[in-house]
Amino acid sequence: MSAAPQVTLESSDGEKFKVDKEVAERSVLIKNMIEDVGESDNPIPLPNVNASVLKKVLEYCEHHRGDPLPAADADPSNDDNRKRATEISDWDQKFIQVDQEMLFEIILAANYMDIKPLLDVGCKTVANMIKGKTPEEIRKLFNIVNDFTPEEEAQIKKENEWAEDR
Amino acid sequence: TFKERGPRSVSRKRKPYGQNLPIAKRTARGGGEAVYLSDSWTVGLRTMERLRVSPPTVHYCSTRGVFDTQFPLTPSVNFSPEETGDSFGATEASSRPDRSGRPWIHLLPHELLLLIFQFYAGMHTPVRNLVRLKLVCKLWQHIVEGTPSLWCWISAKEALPRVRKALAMAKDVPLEIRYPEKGAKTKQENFFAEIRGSITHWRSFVVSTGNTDSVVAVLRSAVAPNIETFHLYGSYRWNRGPVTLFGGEAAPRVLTDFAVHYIPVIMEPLQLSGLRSLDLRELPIISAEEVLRILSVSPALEHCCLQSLECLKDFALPGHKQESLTRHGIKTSTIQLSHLRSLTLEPGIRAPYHSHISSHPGPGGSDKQCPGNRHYLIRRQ
Repeated sequence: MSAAPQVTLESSDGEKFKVDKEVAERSVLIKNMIEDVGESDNPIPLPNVNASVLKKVLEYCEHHRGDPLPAADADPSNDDNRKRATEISDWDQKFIQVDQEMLFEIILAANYMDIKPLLDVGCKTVANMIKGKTPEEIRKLFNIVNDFTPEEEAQIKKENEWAEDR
Repeated sequence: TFKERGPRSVSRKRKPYGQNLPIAKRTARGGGEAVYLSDSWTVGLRTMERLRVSPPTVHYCSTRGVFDTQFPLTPSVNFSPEETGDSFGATEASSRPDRSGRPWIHLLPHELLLLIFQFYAGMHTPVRNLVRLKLVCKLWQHIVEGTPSLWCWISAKEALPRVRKALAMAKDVPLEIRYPEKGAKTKQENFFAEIRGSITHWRSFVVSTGNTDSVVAVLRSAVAPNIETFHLYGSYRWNRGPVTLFGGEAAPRVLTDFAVHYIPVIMEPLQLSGLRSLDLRELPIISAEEVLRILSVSPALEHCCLQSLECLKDFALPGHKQESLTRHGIKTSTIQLSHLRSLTLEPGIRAPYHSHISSHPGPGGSDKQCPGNRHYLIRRQ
């Protein structure tokens, strides 16, 4: 039996990862590149993804290698349904338990490499982190500076008093 | 400026959010050596910063079309060490900003922030969630107030002022109507009186109700031409007569997900077809012929649940194969559902001699609930 075809990916910091083509093609970017130029022994450079993030992304791709690929963009209703579903599988939840730096790097890499399910897992995780928190708690969570003046803040709070539960 | 534009065709190859330039091309140079031209990658503000360019106008695909945005650069952030003290949640150990002083979350292109907000807005109390986001900082306020599609969730889990606010902010984007079984904060009659005027914008309608008078009044008199998802859940306590949907007219052609539990809707005029999901439970009046007709004109059906339907009580699922039925002179017909991923037919379906539902994996692969090459027979006794 012949071995599964493989491709080599090169991270921004020059580290090379040899993976099964099926795994690499979870990335629509890589899939399109391979389709466009054909298979080659040359490494595929990923100049926006460093080795530690790429390793993590490939771990996700390896685990989900057999999953049905998400529908093409041509069907907008699928995109809508995707945004309406907020659940994350157990394995994905465990996978994405990383620090904030890695979490946002994974999101950026998933976006860049066009791995929609991973992008969703990352963004849903951030949405879950925000869930149930007050604006002040959200600021502290992400180290966001409150750039409203005290007057602006008071005004916005007053305008939106109706929105809080009583 | 931040504006939404109407639908536009989308290219086959999606451009990642925040990347407005073409995917890198690979060209062959002498000796067949391949070189990737990666000068077109622009991902995230950090990259933009490195390149010392202004953020480009970004074209990105959202729920219903292509949007153009040009945000100002993220407001300047003065990193103050005292703000790093507290932490919330599991992933905050390194929530300190990067070297430029910008919080990690603000390294995301705004389109990805918007995607996060979209997931967040869909949770539980959308309007309260969005108002809280608005209060975090000016950038978030700008995104939340400038994106009508974030306000598409119209949920009775929120009090009437919030429902009104969402309707006003959503403008004319497709609406997701929700009335939960428990925890509603707006009375049903008030809720449906409020949303009735927007029925042409309803995209999904998921309503659980024991008292459907106000719902029925809306559905009986009005068409929802853009509705894609319709779920109407009653209870065994239902004691009213049959219910007319969509003004007694055919269901909109865009409707692909249809579910009714307990409430005896009049199905025939709907002329349902092209469904991807069908879920009918505890319906006393739907006919077997109508069920089979819907299945036969919905070849792309992925999920099918037919439970406790009066009309199917004379049906069953024996292990006979179609050939043996034919050998015994029993005429069978086949409904081929090649995309079916889940099928529930129980209880009470006992002795089928009518049709044959066959399921095998579609292009996307098999499904645990409906493994390949399993055939389900439904015959009239």
